[in-house]
Amino acid sequence: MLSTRFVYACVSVYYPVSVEVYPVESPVIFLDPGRSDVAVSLGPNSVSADVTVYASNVVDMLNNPDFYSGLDYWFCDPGDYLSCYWLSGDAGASGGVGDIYGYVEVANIYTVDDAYLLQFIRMPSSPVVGGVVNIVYKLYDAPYIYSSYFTVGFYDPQDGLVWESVGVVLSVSDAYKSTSISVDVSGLEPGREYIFFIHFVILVTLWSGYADFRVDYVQLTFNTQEYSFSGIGLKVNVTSGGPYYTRLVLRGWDLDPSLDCNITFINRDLTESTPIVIKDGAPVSLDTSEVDISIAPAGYSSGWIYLVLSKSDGVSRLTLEFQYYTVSGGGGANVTYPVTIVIDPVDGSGGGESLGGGYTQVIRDLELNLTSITILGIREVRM
Amino acid sequence: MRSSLLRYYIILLLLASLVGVAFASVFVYYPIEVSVSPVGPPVYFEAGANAGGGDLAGNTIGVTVGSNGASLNVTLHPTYQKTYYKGVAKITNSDSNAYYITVRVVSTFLSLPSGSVALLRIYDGSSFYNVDLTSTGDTTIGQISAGASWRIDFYFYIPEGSTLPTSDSASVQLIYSPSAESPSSLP
Repeated sequence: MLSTRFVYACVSVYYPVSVEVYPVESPVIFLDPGRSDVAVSLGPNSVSADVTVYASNVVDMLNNPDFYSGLDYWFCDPGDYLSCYWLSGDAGASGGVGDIYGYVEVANIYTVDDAYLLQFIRMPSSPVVGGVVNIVYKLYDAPYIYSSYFTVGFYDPQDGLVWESVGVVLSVSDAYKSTSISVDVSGLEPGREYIFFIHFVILVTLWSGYADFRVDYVQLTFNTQEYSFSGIGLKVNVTSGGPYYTRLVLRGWDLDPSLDCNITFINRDLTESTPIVIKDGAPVSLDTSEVDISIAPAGYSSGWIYLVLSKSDGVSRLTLEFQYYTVSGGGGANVTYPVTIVIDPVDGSGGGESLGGGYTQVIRDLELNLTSITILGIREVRM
Repeated sequence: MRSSLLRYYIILLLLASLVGVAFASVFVYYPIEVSVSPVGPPVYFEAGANAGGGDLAGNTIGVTVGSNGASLNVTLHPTYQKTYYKGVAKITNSDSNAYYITVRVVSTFLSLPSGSVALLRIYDGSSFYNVDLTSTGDTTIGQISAGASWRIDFYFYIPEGSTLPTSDSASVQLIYSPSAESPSSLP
C-alpha cells in the first residue's frame, strides 16, 4: 500500500487544451409584427423581446367591409326594380362601393321597393354583449318625390327571426355620410350563423325614376364577454446561416385564472409547432415541438410566434425561452433568447352612437329568397 | 636580510598550502539508473458528437484532437445571449485504473465583453462540473473510472448590446493523475 502511494504520488500528466472563439452577430433576430394590438420592445441587438398583447373584446365580423375590389362575400336580395351592383370608384369614396340601384316605376300613385345587401356571419364562440355598425353611405339619386330610409340588422335563416334597427332617413346628397349604430344583440346565440343585412327602402310617388343608394364602407363589430386575441405576437427572421431548428419553452408565469392560451411557432412554409397550452390559468404543456426556419425572401419573415387566447379579465405574464439549434434535435450550437409576454385586456365596449329606439326584434317574412342570392355584376358609374 | 628572506618563503608556503586546501575536493559516485518505458496515453481526448457540426452563421464547430489524443483545440462561434455547445469533445479513460482529473485554466478570455460568461463543462454522466474560462486556476473534477468517457460542453453568455470581439482564446490544461494530490505547476 505504501509503495503504491509512493509510486503514484508524483505522476501527473498535462494535456494542453486551446479554446478559440469567434463571436458572430446573431443570425436569428426578432422583429415587431407591427400590429396595433401588440406592443413590442426589442433589445439593442433584437435578441430579446418584451411583448404586450392587448386582448380585445371587439371582434370584426364582416369580410370585405369596404367593397374595395368587388362584392366578394356580399350577396343581394333584389326588389322588383332595385338590384345590387359594384362600382369600382366614386367621388368621395375610399375605393369601390356597393350599390343598390334601379329604375323604380310608378304604375299607380306610388311604388314601394326595397333591396338587401347581405353577408353571412358566424357569431363568436364567446357570448356577445354588444355591437356596433359603422356605415358610410349616401343616397346619390332618387325620383322627384320620394321617401327613403335604410336599416341594418340580422336574420336567422333557421327560425325566421329578424333583428332590425330603426330606419335611418335618407335624402339625396353628393357627399357620403358616416353613421354609427349601436346594436342590441340579445338573443343572438354564440356560434350560430346569421345573415347581416343592409336594407334599403324607397317610396316613390307619382313619377318614376332612378334610385341609387351607395355604401362605401360598413363595419360590424361585436363586443364579446371574453377578451380574445388571435395573431402574431412576434416575428422572427434568419439573417445568416441556417436552417435552424426552433422551439419555445415556458419558463415562468403569473396567470389570470380565466386565461386559455395556445402559443405556437409557425415558419414561412406554414409549418406549425405543437402548442404551449394554458387552460384555466394553468400551464398544461410547457414547450412546443421543433420547427425549422431559414432565410426568407426580402419582405418576408422566417417565422413567427403565434398566440390564440381568451380570458375574462386581468393581466397575465409569461416568461419564455426562444431556442434555436444548428442541428435538429437540439444538437450543434444551441442559442437561447428571452421573451416575455404580457397579456393585457383592453376594453373595447362602448362603440357607436345609438340612433334612439334601438333594435326591434320581430318575426316576419323577410321574403329573402336565399336560393336566388348571387354575387351581382358591376355597374358603370353614372355621373 | 636573511630574516626578511625567511619571512618571504614562509608566506609563499602558507599561500601554497591554502590553495592546496581549496582545490582538494572529494567526489563520491552513486549509480542512478533511470528506465523510461513510454506508454500510450491511458486518458485521451476524442471528438464529441457535435464536433464538425454546424455552428452559427454558417460556420462549423471546429474540434481538432492531437494525433495521440493528448491535446485538444476547439473553435466556436457564439453570439449574444446564451449559446450552448453540447458534446464538443470527450475525455476517455481506456486504462484499467481510475484517474483523478483536474482542469487548469492557464490563460483566460480577455476580449469578451464585460459581464460575459464562458464555461467549459464536463459531464460525467450524472453531474456537471463547470470550469470558468474567464478566471485562472485549478478546478478539481473528480475521478474518471476505468473505461469511462466524459462529455465536454461549452457555455457562453454574451450581454446584448455589447461590442463583439473579432476573436478571443483561452488556454487550458487537462491534468490527470492516479493520485488525488494537487498537481504542481510546470517549470
